Amino acid sequence: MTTRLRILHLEDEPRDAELAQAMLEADGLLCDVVPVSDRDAFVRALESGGFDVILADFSIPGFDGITAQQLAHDRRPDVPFIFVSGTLGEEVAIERLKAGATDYVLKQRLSRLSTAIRRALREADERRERLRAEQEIRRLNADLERRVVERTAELEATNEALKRREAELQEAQAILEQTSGAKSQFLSRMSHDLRTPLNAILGFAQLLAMDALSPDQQDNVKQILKAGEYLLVLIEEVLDIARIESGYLSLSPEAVAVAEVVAEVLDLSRPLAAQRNIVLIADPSSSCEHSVSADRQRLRQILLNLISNAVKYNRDGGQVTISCETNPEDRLRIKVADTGTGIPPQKLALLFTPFERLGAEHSSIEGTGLGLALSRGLAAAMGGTVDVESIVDQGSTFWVELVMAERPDVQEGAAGPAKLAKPANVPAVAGSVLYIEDNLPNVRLIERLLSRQRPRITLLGATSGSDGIRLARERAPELILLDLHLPDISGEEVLRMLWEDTRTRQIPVAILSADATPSQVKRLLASGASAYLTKPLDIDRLLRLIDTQLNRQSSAERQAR
Amino acid sequence: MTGASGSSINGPGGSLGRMAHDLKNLMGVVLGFTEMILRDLEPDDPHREELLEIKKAGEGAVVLAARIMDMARSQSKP
Repeated sequence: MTTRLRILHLEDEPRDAELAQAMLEADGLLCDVVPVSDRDAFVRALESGGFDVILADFSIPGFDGITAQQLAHDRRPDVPFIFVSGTLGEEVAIERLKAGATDYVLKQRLSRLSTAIRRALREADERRERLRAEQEIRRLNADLERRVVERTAELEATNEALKRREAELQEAQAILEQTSGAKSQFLSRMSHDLRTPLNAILGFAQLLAMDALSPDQQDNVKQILKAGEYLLVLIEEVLDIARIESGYLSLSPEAVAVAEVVAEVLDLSRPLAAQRNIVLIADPSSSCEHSVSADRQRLRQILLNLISNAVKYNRDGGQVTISCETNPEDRLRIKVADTGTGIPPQKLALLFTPFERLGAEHSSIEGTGLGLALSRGLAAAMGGTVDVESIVDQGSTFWVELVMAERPDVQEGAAGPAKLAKPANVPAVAGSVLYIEDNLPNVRLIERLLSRQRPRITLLGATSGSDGIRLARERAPELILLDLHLPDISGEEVLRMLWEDTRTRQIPVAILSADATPSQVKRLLASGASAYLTKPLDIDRLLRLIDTQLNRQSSAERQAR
Repeated sequence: MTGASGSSINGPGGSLGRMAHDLKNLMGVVLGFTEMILRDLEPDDPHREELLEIKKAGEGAVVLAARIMDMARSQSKP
């Protein structure tokens, strides 16, 4: 180390100070000694600072070593303080060391001074180092603690934020479920509310149509039936569009064999086509043998719409051709081509707008103006499209394109409800029928129907599920007609309870409902219902059902005897 | 099927409003024909009952249609 030590030396005798410096330099300690000889100079020097060691004589006139040590300790506690004195007794020296002096050197043994200074400096260094290390540890500890606190706070904040976010999500989810639940509830409620009066109108009008009325009156009844049927279609289509728009359309996708559905729809459309000598052709050379992934009912609905449009907007004696083609993206296009007047390009875009009939509303062609909008919405909901190409004066080709499916699911043939035995030679059927239904016009309709058409049948009425079950047990009717919307227990539950009771298990149950879903119908038939009839009731079909069931019951009874 | 083409479900020009409108009009037709037959019939004709049921249901449907039209109108307000 080449730095010179700076030493403050309190000494009233200048020669002693010089001697001390000379001794130190002789021992190889490079130093600058600053001598002070009184209290004022000593304090000034202490306050200006910059000394590595303080040496002090013990007895100075007008000043003393004890005070000097105190002053130095107060101002420079870290600087080694060594007494250099000729008069310091051992007792005093020990006392001074206890009070914090670093060392003491007797003037008569001044040669020890350099050693004392070196040791004092080393010790001071060590002390400083220790202090620094301690401070560093304290600082690190404090830092660590601070970081722990900070990190904990951070984690807590994150946790808090996560909890908040979770709560927000839950809330949003709840609102969403509520809204979508409310919307779907609203739609099904509206469907029910709108259909109830229409069902009554259609039922009673059918009843009237069966009777001998004057030709004028018959004609008026036909108009009522026509308006009612049109409204029923309209309501269903509007509610379907609403369901699609709100994302609440329920679909049962399966692999559907296209050729089957096309054949069914063509059969349904033939009577309409025959009225105007229009020929319906399924192109045998095309790829309709494939299957597509679709909801069978909805695909049928789309094709029925496209084909009935192709018939309605065709020329008399025209032609409608159904064909299929596959495309590279594994999609199948089912095309319906007509020989009508075609649609000008600027009007094509309007075709799929609800209620847009492109002027047909002023013609005699009937329609709600919703069919194409609905077909396109249904196709989109099944992952497909509906579109059109048209050449004016030559005709239009509408198509529905859907994703192809591997192989068709096995079909159980004609669905259960249609599987009714042929009616025997009847009107003589007798027995009792229990109708469980809370809507009174519906009950009155069946009442009137039976009293007119099957006078030997007794109708038992129950306006609640529990009443119905009670009557079924007490009266053992030959047939039960069951509505699904009952005020106390659901129709499904009633069916289950009838099935579980040995007294009522053998009674056939026909479900009469306006809005059962296909999957619900499947479930009901699987759990024991023998038939499903949709409202508005097809009076002829209901009579056939009643005749068949009552005949079967009575022949079973005959056999049992 | 977007609002831009005025074809969404809500609003008086939307599908619900249009449907309600058609429902109301056609119920008028139904009620008209029903009334015509009723006038033709003798006071004690057994068919009166069916016709009165039709009339009652038709009147109910008209009320419902009016309610839906009100709703469609109120939903179109900002």
